[in-house]
Amino acid sequence: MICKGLVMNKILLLSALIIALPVSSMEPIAEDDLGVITAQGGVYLTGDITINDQGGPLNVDGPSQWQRNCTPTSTDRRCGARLAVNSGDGANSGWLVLDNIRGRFSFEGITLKTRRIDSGFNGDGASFNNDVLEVGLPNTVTYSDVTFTVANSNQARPTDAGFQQTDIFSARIDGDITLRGNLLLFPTGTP
Amino acid sequence: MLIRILTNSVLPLFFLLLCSFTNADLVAMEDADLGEVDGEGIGVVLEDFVYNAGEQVNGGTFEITGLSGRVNGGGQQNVVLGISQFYIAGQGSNNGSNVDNNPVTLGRLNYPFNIELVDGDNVGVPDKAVFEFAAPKKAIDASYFNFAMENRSEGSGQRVDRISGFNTNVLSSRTTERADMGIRFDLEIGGSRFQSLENHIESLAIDGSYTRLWGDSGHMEGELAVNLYTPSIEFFACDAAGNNCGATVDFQNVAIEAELGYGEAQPVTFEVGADGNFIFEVGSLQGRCGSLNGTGGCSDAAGRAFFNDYYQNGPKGNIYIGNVSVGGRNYGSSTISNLQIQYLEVKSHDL
Amino acid sequence: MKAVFIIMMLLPQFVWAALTAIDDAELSDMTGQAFINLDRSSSGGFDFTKVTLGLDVKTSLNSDLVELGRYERSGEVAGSSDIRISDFALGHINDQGEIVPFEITDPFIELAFETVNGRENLVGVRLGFGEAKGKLSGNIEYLTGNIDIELYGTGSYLSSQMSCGFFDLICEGAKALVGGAWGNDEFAANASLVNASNGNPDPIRATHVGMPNGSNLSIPDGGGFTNFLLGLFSSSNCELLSTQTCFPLSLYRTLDIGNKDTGAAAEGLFLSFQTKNVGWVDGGTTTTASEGAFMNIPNGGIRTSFPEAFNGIPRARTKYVDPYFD
Repeated sequence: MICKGLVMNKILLLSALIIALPVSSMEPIAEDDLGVITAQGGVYLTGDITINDQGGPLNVDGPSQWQRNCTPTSTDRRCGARLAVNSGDGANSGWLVLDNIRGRFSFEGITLKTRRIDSGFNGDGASFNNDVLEVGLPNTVTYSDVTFTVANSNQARPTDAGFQQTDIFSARIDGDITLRGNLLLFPTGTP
Repeated sequence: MLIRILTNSVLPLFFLLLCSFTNADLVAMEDADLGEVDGEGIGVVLEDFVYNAGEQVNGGTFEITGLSGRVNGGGQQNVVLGISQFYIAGQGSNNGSNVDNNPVTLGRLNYPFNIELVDGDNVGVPDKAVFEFAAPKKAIDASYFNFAMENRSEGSGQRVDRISGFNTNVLSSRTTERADMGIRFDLEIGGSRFQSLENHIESLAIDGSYTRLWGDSGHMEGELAVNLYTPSIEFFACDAAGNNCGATVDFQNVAIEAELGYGEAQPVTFEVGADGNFIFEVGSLQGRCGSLNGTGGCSDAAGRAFFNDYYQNGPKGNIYIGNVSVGGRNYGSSTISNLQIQYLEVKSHDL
Repeated sequence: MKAVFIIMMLLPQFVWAALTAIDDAELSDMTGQAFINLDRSSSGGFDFTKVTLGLDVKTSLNSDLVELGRYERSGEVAGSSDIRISDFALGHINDQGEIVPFEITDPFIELAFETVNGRENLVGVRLGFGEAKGKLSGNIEYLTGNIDIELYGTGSYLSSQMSCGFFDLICEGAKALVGGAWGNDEFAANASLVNASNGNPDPIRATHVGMPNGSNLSIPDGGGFTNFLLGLFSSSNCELLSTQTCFPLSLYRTLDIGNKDTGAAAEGLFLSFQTKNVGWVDGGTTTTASEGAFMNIPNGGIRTSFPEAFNGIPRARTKYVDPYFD
């Protein structure tokens, strides 16, 4: 706690020293030049994420047991990524599994910026009067053959001894999804 | 002056150097220490939000598979639920036809969705930090329902006779923060399409709902509150192409306030058993009595105090449907009131 | 589901653990069938879609009020409901302070559809239990549905409840037979929802249960002649051989669902809501549910002795500090 405070002080101290020293080779920009600069604060993201859409690295280079038919419609449990969670005591309890995670997501235009809200929101903005982190959602997210399966298993990995898995359902999405709006994040509570 | 300069610049520098060279081991925090944590939470508001997906929205595939079913008692076949549309939008979505330019703001700036680590002492889980994910809080921390009570003719005390009214000012969500949502799906068994079922919920508020999670004895425990308030939930069926829709079953003025779990005294657990089937459990209240009377009830003061508190203030469920309307005919109201669960165990098995 | 998509979009690569060789036998370790079944069937002009959940449920719960279908209905008392049970409870607490839960196996939700003029109308929904067992307690004020109660008891007890008129020789003769030759025989009768004023079956908003007009006693283990004789006497207007045969539902404060002697569960228990008469199908049996809310407790669902039928069944303890006990 003390160290953190001192680090802040250090930054201030160093900044102060830097500012105090003469800086060379910087020239003021002329008003005309400044006038043509338009900038927007924040970040603009475009993404294309592919997860195991051909099955996974082990299906390509791994041992023979992992060589599987991993076409887009395959539901083989050796394809795709897998996430297993155990909320019990580990030894005597099983795993809730998200299996066969694969596919491709692409989106354009997730924005990230800070924003001051002091108006709008049907009157709430004025009383809120604070900064928020605004994550702008991309309007459209394109899914290509995205699949996942919800399942239960008694062991963590398919390679564990005595492994048994029961699939509950699978989902498959291929197409565009409309996702519009802004996610606003801000601190609450009293620390 | 000199001393002050020294204090402000040299001393910090000195301690700064000290900090850089300090090499301390990390020590796990005790539960009791963690129980003192009460930090800031993260408020979440979804501004101008629209979600619209489905096979008939943008083309493509959006389906749930892996289920099994039978037709007229035959053999098990693959069941596919094709989701034609799933949407979350603002008021006036007109059963999913007016979605794209009809956004809703979920949460209010002063009543946001909240993710926080709360002090367990305040929520019935002493000496622990509790992870809480909550929907917007209510404007007034009270029940939405007003009850008319009646005396028990053969027992003692009172019970609920009927729901006499509603405290609409309890909710913090206004019409601009209440979403319309709906789903249309097609049922396909063994490759044949049988029907389309649609469900639309109007102006839904979930104020006061939350999930709390903490750890105990090596597993995860929790507490849930589910609150739903909506003026209309509609169900109707259409043919395989989604046309020629039949009469609508409309549940009007639906309100549900349900609580599961009571802190550490009655935790909710969700686990997968060693055989791979899941187990959902609301803790049993058995064994809380220090001594029993002849008919199995509590006779000790501490036990009676606990149960009197539980039956009076503990987790309760109230479900109310104002009217069920089908094709112009009304089938009146339905009420389940003051539902308290003393024990619940749900185990799944393969069919 | 949306949350999962957002999380998945932001997840980095996964890290794989060390590989171990597995043999073919281990590869066949995946079971496919999960706990959800979706069935579709047709019967009697209706199409049914049924979602069955493979669940074993054990519960002990209390509720101040369970009321379904509170609306004015022609021919019924104003202010009544299709089903109204106060201080409703499932499961009970025994003398040792142990919770004995109500057990439900394989619950399901079923929707009934009827195609009229090319349109598929949703006409009914029901919540059913594949099997149910345990104590159901409550003050039953109104009940709509099909309740089949099996009554049983010895002749000696039955005869003690018969009060014959001074010159009613037939009654006196029957009483002597029931209490004498048949004194130790086990009698059986079936009771269902009735209208107390005339003994007619009354499946809608009933307040009484008993032997409907025309029903009679039988001795299941008795011979043909015995049962022929018994068949001559049938219940009429809530009376059989000067014995009262209809009783208020509120007397039966705890019902044993399933057979408490053999431990068998009751099958076919359901609660339904329909907009017209719908014939719900369970296995080979069709139960026609009337319009509105409806509860079905089928044959074998409740077995009650004659003494319990005449005197009522006291309420079991359902809370550790119980307003009916403490």
